[in-house]
Amino acid sequence: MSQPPPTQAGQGQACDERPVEDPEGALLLRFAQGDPHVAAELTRRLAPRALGVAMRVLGNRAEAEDITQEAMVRLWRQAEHWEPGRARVSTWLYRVVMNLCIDHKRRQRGGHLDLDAIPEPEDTAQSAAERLQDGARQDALQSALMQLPERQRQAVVLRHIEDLPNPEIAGIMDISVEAVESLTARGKRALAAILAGRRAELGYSDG
Amino acid sequence: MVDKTDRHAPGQPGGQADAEQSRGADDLFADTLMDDLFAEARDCRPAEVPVHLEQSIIREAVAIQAARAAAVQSQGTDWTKGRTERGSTGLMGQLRGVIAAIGGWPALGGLATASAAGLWIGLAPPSFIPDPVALAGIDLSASDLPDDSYDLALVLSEETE
Repeated sequence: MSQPPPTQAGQGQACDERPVEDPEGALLLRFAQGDPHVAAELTRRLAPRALGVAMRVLGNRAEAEDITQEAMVRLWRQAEHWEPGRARVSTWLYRVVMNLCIDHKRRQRGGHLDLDAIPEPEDTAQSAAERLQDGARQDALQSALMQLPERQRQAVVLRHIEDLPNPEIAGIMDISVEAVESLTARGKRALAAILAGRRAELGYSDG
Repeated sequence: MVDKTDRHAPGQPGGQADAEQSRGADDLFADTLMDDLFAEARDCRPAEVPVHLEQSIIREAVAIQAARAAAVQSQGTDWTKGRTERGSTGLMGQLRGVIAAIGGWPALGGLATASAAGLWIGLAPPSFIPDPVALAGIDLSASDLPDDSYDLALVLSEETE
């Protein structure tokens, strides 16, 4: 199954026809032409991004690794059809990863396992002081992220953690920029509400 | 990112203003908390890809490249599909195509032998077949030939008589 390249402005937006700067796109063209040396370089550049975003969205490293491998294989397979200048390779890859994550969750729900409905287990063994460490703060953030609806979580991860601009997120998620703004705003508010009761754990004093 | 507009609307009663102020403080805390956490998440090192996963991804890439190269090569050996390939255009390219179509250079050698035999049969027919040269009214004799000429057909016709 080939994934169409996303547009930069997202669905329903006026397309900017200017070619985008994309060093990975140049490497992908060399790969399609048979250059045997670029696969490792593309893997080094793109796989960590795919794995990072999949881990944030799925909350599970093993599943995220499977998704990363599948996304990269799809990249190799569609290399000969790549249209330079239409979109960034990283944008395309983010889109594939997000769709694979959604498919993965759907399959899990088909097996009567709704991860969105299951709160992350609380670790009561650690003291509040230990939780002040950055790792614990990130665990708290991840735990809160996993309580968001799927699309809100994707939008928040892409906007606030991957630091992508809204038009690019619109292209990845195949929605309008306005929809991205709405999803990220609601997602951020929901996260703040989830974490509001954990001020002390997160290292903030009350008041 | 942070919407701090209209948090304190003028002309509101004191109790509502206090509540609004309290909510504003909560919102400010929430924004600060989330901005801090997001910034820390962005500062985290990129996800480290395990070696076995990286190797597996690269192996897939190599396999896909090899399969594609093999497909391109098999297309190249089929002359009917090779019109766009380098050297397949122009007169020489067409000639190479024709030669390849009839079986290559060995077949061309056989064709040359058959042509020579046909020429010989035409010029030196067996005795029971009328001589086309004589039928054309041409009196062909040794005197008509230059002294230094060597006519294979004449020699052969003399030998068959």
